[in-house]
Amino acid sequence: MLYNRVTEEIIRELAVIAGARNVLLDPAKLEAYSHDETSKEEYAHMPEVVVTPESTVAVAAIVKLANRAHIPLTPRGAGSGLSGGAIPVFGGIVISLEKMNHVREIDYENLTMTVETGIVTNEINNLVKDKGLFYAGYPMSLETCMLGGNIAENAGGGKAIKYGVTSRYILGLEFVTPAGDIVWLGGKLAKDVTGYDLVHLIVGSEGTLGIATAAIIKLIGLPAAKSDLLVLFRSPQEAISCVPVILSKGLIPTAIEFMDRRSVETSCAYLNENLPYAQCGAMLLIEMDGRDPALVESEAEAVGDLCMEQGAIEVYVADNRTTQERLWAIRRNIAEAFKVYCPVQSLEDIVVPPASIPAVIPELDRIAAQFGITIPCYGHAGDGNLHATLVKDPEMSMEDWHRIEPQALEALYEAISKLGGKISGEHGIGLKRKEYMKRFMSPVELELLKAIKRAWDPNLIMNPGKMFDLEKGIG
Amino acid sequence: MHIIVTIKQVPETDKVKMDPETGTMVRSGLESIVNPLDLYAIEEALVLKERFGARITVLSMGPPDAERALREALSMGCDEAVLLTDRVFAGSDTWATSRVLAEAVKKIGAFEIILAGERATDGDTGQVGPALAAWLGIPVISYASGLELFADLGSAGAEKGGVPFAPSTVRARRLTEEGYQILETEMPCLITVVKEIASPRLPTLRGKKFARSAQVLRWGARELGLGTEDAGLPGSPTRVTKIFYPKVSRDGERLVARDEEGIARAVNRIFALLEEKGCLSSVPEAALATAHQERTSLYSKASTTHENLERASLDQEAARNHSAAKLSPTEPSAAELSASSPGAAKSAVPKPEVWIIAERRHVGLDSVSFELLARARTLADALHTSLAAIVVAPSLADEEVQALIAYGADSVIALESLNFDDFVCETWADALFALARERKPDIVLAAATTTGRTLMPYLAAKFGTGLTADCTELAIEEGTGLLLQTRPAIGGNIMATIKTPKHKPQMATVRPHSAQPLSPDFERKGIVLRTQALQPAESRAGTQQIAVRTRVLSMERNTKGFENLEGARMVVSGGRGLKKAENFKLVRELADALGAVVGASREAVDRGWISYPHQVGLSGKTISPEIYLCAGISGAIQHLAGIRTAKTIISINSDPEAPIHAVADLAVVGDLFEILPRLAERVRSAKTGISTEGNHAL
Ligand SMILES: Cc1cc2nc3c(=O)[nH]c(=O)nc-3n(C[C@H](O)[C@H](O)[C@H](O)COP(=O)(O)OP(=O)(O)OC[C@H]3O[C@@H](n4cnc5c(N)ncnc54)[C@H](O)[C@@H]3O)c2cc1C
Ligand SMILES: Cc1cc2nc3c(=O)[nH]c(=O)nc-3n(C[C@H](O)[C@H](O)[C@H](O)COP(=O)(O)OP(=O)(O)OC[C@H]3O[C@@H](n4cnc5c(N)ncnc54)[C@H](O)[C@@H]3O)c2cc1C
Repeated sequence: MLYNRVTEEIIRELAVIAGARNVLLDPAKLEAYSHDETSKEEYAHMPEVVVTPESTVAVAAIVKLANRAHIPLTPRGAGSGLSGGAIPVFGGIVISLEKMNHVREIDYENLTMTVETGIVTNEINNLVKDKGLFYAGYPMSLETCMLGGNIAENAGGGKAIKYGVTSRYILGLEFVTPAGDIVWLGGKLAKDVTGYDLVHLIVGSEGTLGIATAAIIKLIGLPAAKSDLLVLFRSPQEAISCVPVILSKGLIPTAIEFMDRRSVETSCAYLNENLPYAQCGAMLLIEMDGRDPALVESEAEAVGDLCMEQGAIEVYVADNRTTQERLWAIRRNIAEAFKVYCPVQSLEDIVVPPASIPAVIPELDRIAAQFGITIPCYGHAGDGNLHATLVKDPEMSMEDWHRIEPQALEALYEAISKLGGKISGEHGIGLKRKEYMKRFMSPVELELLKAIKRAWDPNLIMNPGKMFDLEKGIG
Repeated sequence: MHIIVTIKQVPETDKVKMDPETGTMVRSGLESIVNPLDLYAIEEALVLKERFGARITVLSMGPPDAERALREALSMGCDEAVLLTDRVFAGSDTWATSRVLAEAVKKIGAFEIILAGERATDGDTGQVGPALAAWLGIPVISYASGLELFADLGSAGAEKGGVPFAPSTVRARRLTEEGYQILETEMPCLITVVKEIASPRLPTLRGKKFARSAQVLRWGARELGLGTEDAGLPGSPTRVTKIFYPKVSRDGERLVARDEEGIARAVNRIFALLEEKGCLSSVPEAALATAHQERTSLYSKASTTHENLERASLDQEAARNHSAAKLSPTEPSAAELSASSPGAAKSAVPKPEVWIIAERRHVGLDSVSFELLARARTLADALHTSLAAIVVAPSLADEEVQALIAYGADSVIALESLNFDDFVCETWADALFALARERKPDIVLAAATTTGRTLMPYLAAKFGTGLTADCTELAIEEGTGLLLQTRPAIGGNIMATIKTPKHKPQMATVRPHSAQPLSPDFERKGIVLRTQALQPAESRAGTQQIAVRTRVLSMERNTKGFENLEGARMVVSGGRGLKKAENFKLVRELADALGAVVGASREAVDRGWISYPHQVGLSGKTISPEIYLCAGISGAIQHLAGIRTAKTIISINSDPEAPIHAVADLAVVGDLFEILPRLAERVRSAKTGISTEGNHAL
């Protein structure tokens, strides 16, 4: 089976469906849609055409057209993905939802918002903040990414310990199937077992089953008080070992973020920020929130005291927005900073059961030593989800890197599997990890996934080449 | 050692939003925080404490709730806290605030150093620090970016073998428009600090626990021996008469430059906008760059009244009368100038003058002096009085005098002394104070520069009069003849009109580049008065001591000017639309021509066309220039995050749909390769063109 190419005729049809101004052909413009936040050199691929439809009806018509003409279709949000999910590996049509960013309804009685998926995630919070509400499902990239991308990746953020990940907040979806049909799934319901839970099959499906054009999302009360602790430890091992201790004490932070020294240093250099990390090997950034400021303060203090008992060097407290923003900016900018200072790298998001977190660090050290690379590490330690980042040392040649990177990744995934973990906790499989997923997933499970895909998208037009390969090539 | 740090609790001004419908400030959800710039003063105090051993007292005047700010400072490591809170204090202006603080400092007792932030982010005046120093009669060093302490003057030895010693001298690096001034002064003294000095630490858990149980002293007016008339509104010389909201919407003009004609129109329009915003300094560089030139007969054709060129002492009544007579020949000149209102226009008494304090740089008069003249000319004309340009300098060149008169001064008063080589607040203030006591000006204007913002509050405190910082508009009120001073506040979210109804002189600092100089008239005649003011021998008691207390050791001048994006007034940025590295020079060339700083999008930085410190946006710098001109940048949301507070945005992008055009004040849909070089050429020739004209006129 081969895909067809985008012809003049198809372009004319796209222009009729979406309007000529929403059809992009200029190669200079297409380039921006050829990559996401994974390495351009390794993964970028040009689309033949980009369409930016402004309505669900237009989206459906484009999908119908692609399905009829056997043209590969890649849905795209903000392109902040870290698994190559939005890259059009087979060319074809990129359907960008950037113009579908309208809020259709805010329902203050049911505490839901119905919103198109092209909205930048942070906008949601800006809209309801004044009403004392917030959308808790957001990832760290909230100022960039779009809701649709979060849904497709089932993104998880810095608040997942207490609030969970995107899926918990998606109650309903307006969905365009690979055949081009429009359907509403789920609703403003707290419970719903009417048939298979298709909403949550779609959440995390990486755009391979269809396009979510709008969603009903759950809003919750914005906690009035927040206190952040920055805890310095002598070694990564000491820091990480503290995490299960905190969690087992029944204290529920919204976040426990881990940052090793290299991550902090790099981000600080990037932000021109200054933290007292002289004797410190790693840090935890711990956030407590709640309605009652006094209670939050005393809980934060309890966590701080616990960390000191566990051998922390120092505990810093940020209990106003200015200092909190200072700390979170450091955490949020680590990925960007590594891109600037060590551009040749592989950003991973391994996940292990919380109790196994302390065992991860020695594994990273071992793999780093074995392959002669460095593996700085940071991430959502409270979720057992760590961004181990394989970094090429400046002296290493590119050839060596290309040879070593897959071996090191394989060793990493192997180690994680043994700890009861998985290769991706939130960034997804996409293009980047599909070869590895194959090896670390049971054949039966893999076949179930493929069966779902074939049933939903028999022509295999919807985001092909992602998660796993199926039998179709470029025509 | 005892260090006092003055801090203020402020609303988070960077989060202030305006309600687009009502045009009012949205106050809900605003937290009160320690003035972010005071954190640097606290940090520096803590660093000094760690090095030399010290006790730190934090001092704040504010509502009872300001206790939280003090506790934050305690949790960072300060030892004691004093809160000045009283209904009587509410509504105090900077003069009254500094007065209350001064009383509190006296009550606190002996100290070596007072540290303060450069300014508070809400009021944005930076006046309280220097005014407090004036009240206490101690030297002030403002905008310090680094401090060193020594046991005595000149002994540059650091801590001897790490053993703490009792310091008595402070050496400071002071940030100025020209670079850094290295000064030394004696303790006790007051230092205001800039961000560069330190990176504020976070409070520790231990610190928080200490701060929670620590005592915060509360003093009211009674404890300080102040009456109800001494502070608050009754004790404040200035009055806010009007508050209004600046326009928030962008005009959003759009031009399409597809053909020759369109391109020419676009270039013209951008040029006109730059000119309108005062980005093309129209002052002849030749007139400015003469400070250290020898006086030559070349200028003998000049129209200055030469009989006044010989040095005259201010004490010589005759000289003053003589000059007054020249200024307004119809008026008798012997009478004592009074600080009466200009209502006395028809009386025989010569009217109090309007003054500007001209500003000089290494290379001569700074263009801001001519902007001040333009402002003051309107005021003097409205008051039917004369305009004097006051220059404090080692010596003033004739051609500088010439330029001041050509740009609007009726008279030039040069306070000349070798002591005046570099700015030292107390020395300059003393000289100006003496001059003002003689001549009793009605209005004194200076530039809101590091010099003006230090000197003026110090002077105002000495005069006992009000001062308005960083004005962008000045006018004379009908009927009363009072000066109406309008300035932005709360991070530019509101505008306030302020006047000083009962005190003289009325004083204001004026935001640089907020006005255009007048076009020079080299035929204008004026008067020159030179005075070797305040030779130490003749100086009043105390003066000499002050003059010696602070001295300038050296200057480190920036030859290239600041490459500081965050502080830049103009930024020219380029993005991926420039296509390749070599083309980025188009952006640099325009920036050079304008004297702007170069910025870039992440795409340009990623491609290595320019280094990361130039990146503007979410993961780069957040900037708020007067002018942001960008070419070949699409305006991605992350890029826009960095330019939300830019005042005027000019976009050049060939794509009519580019999101940058939607936020631009002037959107040019066109090819940057056509537009940038022509614009740069136009700017260059405009600059040199004017200067040729200027030379010609001279
Ligand atoms: C600095 C940084 C920090 C990050 N932090 C986090 C984090 O904390 N947690 C986390 O989980 N991720 C994080 N990410 C990864 C990324 O931001 C998330 O995966 C995000 O959800 C992607 O959203 P997007 O809109 O950019 O999607 P894109 O990259 O555009 O697309 C991602 C996938 O979603 C599909 N898709 C997009 N829209 C739709 C739609 N409407 N219907 C169907 N499919 C669609 C695409 O086909 C693609 O497969 C981070 C990335 C960066 C660069
Ligand atoms: C987490 C994250 C953080 C980011 N942080 C930043 C940040 O801090 N700063 C930042 O800038 N970006 C940032 N980005 C990247 C951002 O999303 C955009 O990719 C980037 O800003 C685009 O740069 P650009 O405008 O130069 O390029 P493009 O978007 O490619 O735009 C180039 C523009 O040039 C125009 N053009 C082409 N030729 C010409 C011509 N001859 N004449 C005139 N115009 C022409 C085109 O029409 C186009 O609009 C971030 C992204 C992520 C995911």
